[in-house]
Amino acid sequence: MSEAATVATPSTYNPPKDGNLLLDVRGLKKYFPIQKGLLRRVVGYVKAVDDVTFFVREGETLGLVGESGCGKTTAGRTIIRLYEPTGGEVYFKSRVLSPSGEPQWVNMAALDRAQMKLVRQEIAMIFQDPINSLNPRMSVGDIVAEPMVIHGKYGPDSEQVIISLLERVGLRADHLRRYPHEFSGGQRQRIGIARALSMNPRLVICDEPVSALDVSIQAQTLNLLQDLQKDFNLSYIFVAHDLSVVQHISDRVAVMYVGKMVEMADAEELYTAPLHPYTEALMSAVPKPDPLYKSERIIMQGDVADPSNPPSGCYFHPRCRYAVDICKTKTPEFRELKPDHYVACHRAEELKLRGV
Amino acid sequence: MESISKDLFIEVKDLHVEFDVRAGIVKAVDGMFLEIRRGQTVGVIGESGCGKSVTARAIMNMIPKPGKITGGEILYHRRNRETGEVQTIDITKLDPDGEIIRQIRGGEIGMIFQEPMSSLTPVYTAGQHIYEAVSLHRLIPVKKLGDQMVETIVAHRKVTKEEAREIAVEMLRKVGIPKPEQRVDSYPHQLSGGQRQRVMIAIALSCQPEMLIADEPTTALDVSIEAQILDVMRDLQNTVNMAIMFITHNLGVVAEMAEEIVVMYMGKQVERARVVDLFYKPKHPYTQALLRSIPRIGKKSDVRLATIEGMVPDPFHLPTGCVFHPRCPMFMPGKCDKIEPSNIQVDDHHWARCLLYEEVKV
Amino acid sequence: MTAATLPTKKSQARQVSQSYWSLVWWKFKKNRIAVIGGIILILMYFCMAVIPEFIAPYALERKSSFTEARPQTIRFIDAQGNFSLRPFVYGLERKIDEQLRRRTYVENPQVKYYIYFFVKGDPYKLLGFIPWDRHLFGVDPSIKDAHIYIMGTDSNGRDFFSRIIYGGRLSLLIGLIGQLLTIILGSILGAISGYYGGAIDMFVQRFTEFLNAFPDIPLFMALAAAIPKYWSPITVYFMLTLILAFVRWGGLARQVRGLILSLREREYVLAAKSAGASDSRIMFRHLLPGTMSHVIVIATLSIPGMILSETALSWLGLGLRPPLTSWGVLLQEAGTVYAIRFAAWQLWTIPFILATIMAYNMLGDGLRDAMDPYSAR
Ligand SMILES: Nc1ncnc2c1ncn2[C@@H]1O[C@H](COP(=O)(O)OP(=O)(O)OP(=O)(O)O)[C@@H](O)[C@H]1O
Ligand SMILES: Nc1ncnc2c1ncn2[C@@H]1O[C@H](COP(=O)(O)OP(=O)(O)OP(=O)(O)O)[C@@H](O)[C@H]1O
Ligand code: SF4
Ligand code: SF4
Ligand SMILES: [Mg+2]
Ligand SMILES: [Mg+2]
Repeated sequence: MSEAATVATPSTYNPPKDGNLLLDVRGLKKYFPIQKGLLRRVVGYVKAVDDVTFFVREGETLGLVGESGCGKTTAGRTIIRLYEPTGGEVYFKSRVLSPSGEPQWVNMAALDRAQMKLVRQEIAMIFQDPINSLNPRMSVGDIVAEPMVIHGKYGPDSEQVIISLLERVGLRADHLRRYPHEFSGGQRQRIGIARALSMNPRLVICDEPVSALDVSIQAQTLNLLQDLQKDFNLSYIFVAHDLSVVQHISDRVAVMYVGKMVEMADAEELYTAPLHPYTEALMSAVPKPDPLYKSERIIMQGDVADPSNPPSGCYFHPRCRYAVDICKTKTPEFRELKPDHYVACHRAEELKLRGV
Repeated sequence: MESISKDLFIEVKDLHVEFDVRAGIVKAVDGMFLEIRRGQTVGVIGESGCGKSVTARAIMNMIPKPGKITGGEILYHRRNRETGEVQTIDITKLDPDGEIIRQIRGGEIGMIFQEPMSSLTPVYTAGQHIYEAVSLHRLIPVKKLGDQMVETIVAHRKVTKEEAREIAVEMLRKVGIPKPEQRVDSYPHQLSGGQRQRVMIAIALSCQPEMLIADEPTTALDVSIEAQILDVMRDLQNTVNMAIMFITHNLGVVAEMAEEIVVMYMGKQVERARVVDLFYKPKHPYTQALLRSIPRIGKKSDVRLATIEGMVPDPFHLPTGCVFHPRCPMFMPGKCDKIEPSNIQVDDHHWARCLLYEEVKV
Repeated sequence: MTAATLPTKKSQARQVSQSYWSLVWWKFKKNRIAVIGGIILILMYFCMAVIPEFIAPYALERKSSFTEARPQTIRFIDAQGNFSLRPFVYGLERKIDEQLRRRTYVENPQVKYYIYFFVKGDPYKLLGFIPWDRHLFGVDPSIKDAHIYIMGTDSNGRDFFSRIIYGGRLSLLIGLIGQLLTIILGSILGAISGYYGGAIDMFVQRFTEFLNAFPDIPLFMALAAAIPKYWSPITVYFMLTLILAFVRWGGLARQVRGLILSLREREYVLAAKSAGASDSRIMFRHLLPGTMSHVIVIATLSIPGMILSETALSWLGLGLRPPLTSWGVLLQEAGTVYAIRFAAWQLWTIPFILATIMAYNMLGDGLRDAMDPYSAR
């Protein structure tokens, strides 16, 4: 299954000058085969993630936004190899794999099963659906303890550790023996957070962790995530659709469109001075909690692009109101236009785009 | 013209729904009132577990197993599609498996369910789900298998097999699914979360219902698709004068869509007002707290979000007096924990269930 | 952190932990009919499979001179109208029916045998190792020729009631053991097929289709006929159990496969994977438990089919054979026109079979309602 063609060994990797990085994803690809007929002949590929490049610094939150179906979930899952990457490299500054204990860069896309299992201690996931992400037949204690059991770290005092973890996320010790269906959505999400933290990870991939929660519980959960980040020096990749939530929690924000990264910048800058026309359109569509606000939504022409047969050139060109001829033929490069502000658009320098 | 088009469609009066679970009885809906007119959008907001979905399911007469409607009525002013005559039916009195309610479900009142993951059958393709909805709406006895379903449409709607498929493709295109001709044959697990949700929306809209109950229809969608789907709903509303009951947590969406908003807390309506009044002059302390707890775009700050103190009370130990009093910032000791507030008209077309607006003696 | 101090949404009232199974039990208990079915089955299995030697008044092979004797009626009032608190039976007396030219038996009101509990009788080993000689009921052994045949005797003069009890052991156990094998085969193959997909899946799927293409009974017959006649009865018994399980695992495997396919996409499975769980852990900890409730319901509802298959095969002479005694064997012995005409009490097996099937269906329906995955939130 592993089609990772060219994977650099850790020794050949030149980490960027920025010494603060934790995760460095380069050209990540994940194609799902489309099968037809009785013999399951492969007739094409859904290019769910197609050449995605980004990085996460230690202790920061990177917001990840983009159209539904653009590959955010797939990207998150490919990073920790729930899906085998089709191509690209995922460098992670790992502690567990380094003999000296000093963090050392490894290419996760090239690790074998046993090594990957070790690295999974350092990266955790929080899922969107508080109902589906907890096994209904396991008690809360078992759920939170599971990663410890898997890694053979469950010992006599683990129960105490779990209790303090539950208390840390706002649950009680006597919840240990309860079952998920006895909890409300917000509490279930806290159980999921406790499970994610049970191995002391350094990176947490949060896939829409608050989308299914109501506003007041969403506020509690966001506050909790921020507190935990400070306490444990966690880094988050935070996927969400609610741009106001993303702005609230993120230090930097990355925008995806049809399997590609189109813009990545400091949150403040991205919201106020976007450089990519898709980001601009996205910002204009944010619903405001104000009935008198007249929305000036930029209506994107045409169909949503199809990841199995993307347009030529810049994938956004059929819907971009600034498209010119070159956009149809040449794929724009994802480049650092301003310090720490990356964008993939031919006309990024000249366009004056509107933020929120 | 205005009065005809705006006439009443659904009236929920003093509805009570109870769930008999092992630990006791949960009063999921406890004296709920709701009015929806043709062509009108009513937004329903409130904390998780306050009974929004149960109210919606009661309107479809689809309360899940240990639950029962224990009081009140749901009046449906049903208009005959041929003669235009209006007949009033109490939905709570209908047999939940009977013929009338099955005609109403899907055909006259469409519903978008909250869980897109579990509401789609894993062994049916997106297209098969839509064919089923369309055929359900047209005739009562449905054959369950894919190919047969296409045949039933053929017989009753005088469309060919290809046309039946076209309906499905067209609906998928309307809700913004790329390459609908291919995606119509995808199974649910091959779709992203948002795509599944859009399939649900396509199913509900494929029958052009007279009322749409949208239970958090856009939670898994990005803002541009969300906007597009809200447009589709508004379009249908304008062409067939559809009524919409819009349940959501997203105050931004509700501000954009709804004309009137009902705020629920612990199975009761606590505030009802026009959308502008609700956002600019919220009366109930719960509504006021809710509006404070949302992050606002463009106002990046490092401060923590305001939260509502505490959590939803234990359903087996409901607080006395006003059920919100343990969490209420305006709590008046000796009053709020003793007297149960009634629904008071506080302004023109504005009601709140709070003792602040009630002249009562202790 | 205000949340920490507040009660949970549900069940703060009672500090019971509501695991899925305790909820199922709570719902099951409320269903009278299902509970009755369950109790009937427990009693039947206990009496017939665990302690049949104690329940039956005679040993299995205890022959007597009373051949094809009619059942004796248990009485409290004798011919003179005297009431006795202790029940009794009249002794049987041989007579020749001139017309039919055969031996028959009539009750002789002169001879009364009182029924006692825990009487001494044929010695046996309880549970296979405790030597004992008491029986649940019987007649005073010190009286010569005292006998009690509440369901008559067979052509060898053996007590038919005792035979039904002993026969129940094999028939009931073949259903249970056969179904257990079906569950093991069906759920493991179904789970592997659903989880790994690919070639294994293809193979399992085609194979179950192949099995399903044959009607059950002819397939059983073909397989059962292949068992060599010279094998020992016990080997035959196990072979038959294996055959029954082998023919029937396909349906269960398909159901399990379907369930695994949908459970596999749940986020909790991904969560376990992302934490580094091995395939076997995911399978046994996360996927199979989710299918258990369905499997149990399906299994309960199909045990009667197993029991009936054994009965049918043995009745046709293809299954168990004497000296093994099962309900099918009993029916086979009774299955002649002669026996039905002159010794109709040998059909007493049928009510026992029907009662078992009904009890299983009552239990199965109750379990299905209690385990309903949709109402259990
Ligand atoms: N297992 C799969 N097989 C085939 N295609 C898939 C599979 N999983 C996802 N896809 C496709 O890959 C694309 C990206 O899906 P993904 O779930 O990553 O989107 P997303 O950005 O998370 O969307 P959303 O915001 O709706 O959750 C979609 O077009 C989807 O149809
Ligand atoms: N099948 C059920 N069994 C037992 N209790 C139920 C069931 N369905 C709903 N309830 C209870 O009814 C109450 C109202 O639930 P409902 O689903 O209407 O909430 P909601 O307002 O839609 O919440 P959310 O915003 O989370 O969807 C809850 O307290 C819930 O525990
Ligand atoms: S490259 Fe061209 S088409 Fe693409 S976003 Fe920029 S201007 Fe639009
Ligand atoms: S009645 Fe009292 S406790 Fe209830 S909302 Fe009004 S002020 Fe608050
Ligand atoms: Mg996703
Ligand atoms: Mg709901």
